[in-house]
Amino acid sequence: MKKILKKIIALSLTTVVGGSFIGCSNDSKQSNDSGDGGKLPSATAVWTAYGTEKILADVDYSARHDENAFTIKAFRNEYESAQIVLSPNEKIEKYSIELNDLTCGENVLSKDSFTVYNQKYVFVDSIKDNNVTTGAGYYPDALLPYETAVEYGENEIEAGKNQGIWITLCASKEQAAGTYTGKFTVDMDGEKYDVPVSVTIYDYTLSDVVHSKSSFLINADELAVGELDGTDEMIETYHDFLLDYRISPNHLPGNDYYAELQGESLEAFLDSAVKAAKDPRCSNYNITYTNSGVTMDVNGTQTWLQTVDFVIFKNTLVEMAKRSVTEKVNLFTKAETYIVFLDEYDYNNRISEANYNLEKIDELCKQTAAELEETLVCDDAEFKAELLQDLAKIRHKLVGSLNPDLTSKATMVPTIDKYHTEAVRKEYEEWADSWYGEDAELWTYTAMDPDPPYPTYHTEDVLVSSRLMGWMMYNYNIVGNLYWNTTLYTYSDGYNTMGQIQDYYDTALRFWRSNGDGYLMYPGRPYGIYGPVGSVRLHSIRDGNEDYDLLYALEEMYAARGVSGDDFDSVLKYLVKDLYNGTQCNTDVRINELVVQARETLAQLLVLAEKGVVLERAQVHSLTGENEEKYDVARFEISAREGTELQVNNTVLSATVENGIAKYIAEVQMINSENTLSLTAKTVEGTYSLQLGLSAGGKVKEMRKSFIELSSKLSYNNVASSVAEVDGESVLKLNASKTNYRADMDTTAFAINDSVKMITLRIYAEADGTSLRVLYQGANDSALIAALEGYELKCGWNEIKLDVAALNFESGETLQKLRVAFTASELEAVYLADIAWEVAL
Amino acid sequence: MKKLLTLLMTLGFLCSAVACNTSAANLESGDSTSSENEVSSNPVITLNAFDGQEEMNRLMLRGVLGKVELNTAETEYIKEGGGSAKVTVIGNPYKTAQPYLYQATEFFTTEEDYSDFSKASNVTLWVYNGQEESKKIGLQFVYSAELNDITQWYELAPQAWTQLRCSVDREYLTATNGRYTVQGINVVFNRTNADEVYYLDDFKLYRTDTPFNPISMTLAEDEIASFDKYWQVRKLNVGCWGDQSLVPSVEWVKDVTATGKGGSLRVITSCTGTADKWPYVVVNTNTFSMIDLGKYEAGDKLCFEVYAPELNGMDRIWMELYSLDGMKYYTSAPIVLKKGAWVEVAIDVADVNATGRFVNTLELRILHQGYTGDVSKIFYVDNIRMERVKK
Repeated sequence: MKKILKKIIALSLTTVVGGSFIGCSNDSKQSNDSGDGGKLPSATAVWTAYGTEKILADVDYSARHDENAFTIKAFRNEYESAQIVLSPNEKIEKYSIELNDLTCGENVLSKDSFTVYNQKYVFVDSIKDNNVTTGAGYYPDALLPYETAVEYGENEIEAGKNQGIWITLCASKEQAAGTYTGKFTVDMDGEKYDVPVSVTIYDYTLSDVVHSKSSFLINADELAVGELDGTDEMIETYHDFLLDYRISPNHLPGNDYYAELQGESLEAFLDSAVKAAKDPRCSNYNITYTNSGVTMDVNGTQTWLQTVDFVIFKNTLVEMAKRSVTEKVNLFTKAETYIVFLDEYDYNNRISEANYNLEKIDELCKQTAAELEETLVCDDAEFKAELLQDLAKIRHKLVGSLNPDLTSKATMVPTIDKYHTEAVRKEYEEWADSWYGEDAELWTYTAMDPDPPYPTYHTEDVLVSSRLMGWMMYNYNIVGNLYWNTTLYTYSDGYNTMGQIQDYYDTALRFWRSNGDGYLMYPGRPYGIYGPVGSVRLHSIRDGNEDYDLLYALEEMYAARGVSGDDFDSVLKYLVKDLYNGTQCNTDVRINELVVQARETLAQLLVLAEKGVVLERAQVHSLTGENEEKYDVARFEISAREGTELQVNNTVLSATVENGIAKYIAEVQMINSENTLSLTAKTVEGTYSLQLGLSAGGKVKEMRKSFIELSSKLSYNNVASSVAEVDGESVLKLNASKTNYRADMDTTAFAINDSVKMITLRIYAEADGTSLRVLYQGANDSALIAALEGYELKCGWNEIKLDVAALNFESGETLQKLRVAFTASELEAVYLADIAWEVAL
Repeated sequence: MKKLLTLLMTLGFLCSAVACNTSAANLESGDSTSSENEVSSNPVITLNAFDGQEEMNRLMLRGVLGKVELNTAETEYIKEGGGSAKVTVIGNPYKTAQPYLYQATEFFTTEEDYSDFSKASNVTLWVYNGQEESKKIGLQFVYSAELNDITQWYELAPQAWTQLRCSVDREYLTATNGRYTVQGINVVFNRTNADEVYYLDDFKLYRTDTPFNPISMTLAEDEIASFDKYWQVRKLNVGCWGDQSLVPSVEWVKDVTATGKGGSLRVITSCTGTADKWPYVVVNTNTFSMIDLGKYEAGDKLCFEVYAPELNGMDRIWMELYSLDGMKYYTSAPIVLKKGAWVEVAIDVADVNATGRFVNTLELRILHQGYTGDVSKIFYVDNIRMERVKK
């Protein structure tokens, strides 16, 4: 007799929330050694996990076995997932799951709103990424439809292993908002386990229209290997599948990048373009081109350059214009180009080719538009004008980073880590603006590089990373996401391609150095499925794309009320503050819960906006108290329809009314470690609330030391110091004897630790251009570490701020040494004024 | 039941195989799926019975072939066992790559490796030609990801099963690290304008303990590859960097106008790739190991001739030299072909030996770029040789 206890939990949700326990046997079955170094859980458990995390098959999660409520919070028309995890202590020959309708008062959420998948695990024998916390083992990836898993006898579980059941909800657009409860029942070899279920449907409907852009390759050759089917029908099935994940494939079905468009193939392209132009799921597509070449003079050498065949390309543009007129749909609105042979043009030293092709193709688009102005027959002048305008400004993607030798117009597509700092993001924005003005777009990609904590699609990375990419993209005005392959069904070591994979579901490493890179789908053929099988990573990408569209919807409603982009961003920053820093994901173990919280807040903001309540602007200013302590105050400008009563943190706000719109000011003193804007809006339709988490606060006292005062704690290299006066202030002048010089400061006595937020250095420079590097050494560091690189001093006063959180001090660790190192082109003096930091009171 | 069928099929094979290869006698016995890798106990290996999806995973569909389905329903098209592979070669005239199906000789999931062909005698495959006319189908050994043997073509009678039997000419196989590795076998189809259907079944490898003698190869003074001897074509490798669907095929021909020098090498390729994909023909280490390149010096020439019957987009080729350390140490300037005329290429040793690696040459590759046009291209190569200023 099995030593597991049947635990039927018939609990109300209230009881469940109260911390009840499901499925965990109290039977004290002895732990076993799994043989691979991991400990097996001591009892069979049925527990739950987020849809933003990967639960490995061979890791002991027994500390989480009391997480027992299956919970999803979702918008209408949105896909959202969660997991039920089965962790038996004995082999399970067969498991099954039964879903039930859920109820919320009179309303019913049908069990048909859910899709159930059996997670398949891929063995990762070697961790390739830096900065990951999990080791070698069985990672979940493919999501096999549950019925298929049963049909193929894969609904079994080895003793001591975890088996995840992935359950995805998509509530209809008509589903009433509310929290629906009920239960799902898991059967393991006849033992039944009831799992309490709580599904919250937010009172907002996600639009069908996809606003983020993407260019994800479906490689027809690779697809044909895995599916043993390379027909247009199969490729179109994959294409349609990706569109359902709010992803636009690289090229239209049946048209590889470099197909020679003529006759039937041109007709096929135009047919596909018409379909894509009308499909709300498709946000963009690339115009197919043909390769050619030209020999030309490059820096005095006759050089052969690969090119687009511009004759064929022009013909394609003309035929697209004609088809637009006959179909009455503008085929250029979503059209772009992506010249693949220019990929990573900087890395591959193809700058000449990039300049030549991009300049030519942009000219060609404009020239063709001008010619069609004369020749294109179209009764609708307005439509024709819009059509040709869109043709003239077709964007041309170029994968790579900014390079001073690139002199042609392009939509740059750098890796996501390039957008990490605000300064670099600004460089890319300014470059894009300089070419495209208000039509400028930023794109990005992630592939083999970068490593976590930047977003990746790698097997060993945390799942939430790929979702957060959608948030980052919206946050930083990055419209497009490019991915080099979703169907790598062969192995490539980077040089030799098309190495065979005979087990598509258990081969993690397919491209050189990154597990999971190059594929997001699996061939359905081995399971008798026509078309692809998705993955948890693909679901996560869709989640991120849906979040993008929800943020888009929020900003659209705010913009309709006249809120500027910058003001919207001032509110958005609170929504995303716990999710990432720059483009590095938050690695906090609570990140899954933090995503749920951010989405909850997003839902509240969306519902409030629909009811007319908009946070128009957020600003933070600093106040000084009676004892010279400083603290921040967050000030919100809020507007609502006249007649709305607003309360913030239990205080009723007074309003000024203009043209039927009431304006309110709410202030929150940021004096606690956690601060919240707690808002309640009473409208004629009902009462709505918002809990917007603000920054951590507290009262601080500013400490400031002049460098003259600190001169005994300074040591120098290639420089001598003297006292000087700048703008009436006594400062320490550094007289350099070489163009590279530095000063080291012993900071031990200042007790600067992780409670300090910011260190500010004030430095005066005589001229522009001296480069500053700041290094630091904490008590636990064995050497100096760069905190700031390549900061260019401007002539005059410079305030250099160092984020102490970025120094990653351990608790109690203090700053021991700070180095300011200068590099100048000429011997010019700099002047050190003071160093300031804030100490929490 | 399957074993009985296997035995019956084997008897049929033995009757037909005698004329071709007497060493095939007494081959059939044992369980072809046994993990036992000894020839004596396991002389017949079923590379693919096409009975289930796991076996189908040993295939790779290439060259925009169309589709391959596991057929278990149309029993009249199953030669043996519970299934066959239904191959539909799509006839879209815009899809011009050579369609083929790759069958692995190593099974990763069961850890069976039959890629060492030093004891292989034959490969057989049953093919049903679903068309109303005769068709040709080819078998081609794949040595590595980049290197293929030349294709052997077979005639298929209409609407009938034909057993292809490809003798393994072990004496021509190239030994690498002591192994005569054939990592897979391509089943090569020709595309027409209409879809074509074939059924494949019972892909087998026959093995033997009979020893073999590598063919005796000698070269004339200063000869690298005159292509006057058949083995010089058999010893070549063909491949394509970046895309196996563009691997060229080669033939030994004697009828090229105006050569007057015995045989020549005909290279046939289909071009649908990009500039990142380079089909090539390799004169490999087996040839260079017979040549003392150290006796050549500056002023001496590395020469060969090329001929193009049509320009047709195929207007340039390149020659590359690789050294024993794996380095590509020389790439020629583009060699421009002339329609209907032989072009002599002569490169000074001083140029090719700039890095001092000429004496350690491993391979000579003749490449053509696969970016132009969409029709098959043909060119000829002849008389790869050294010419000395003074002898």
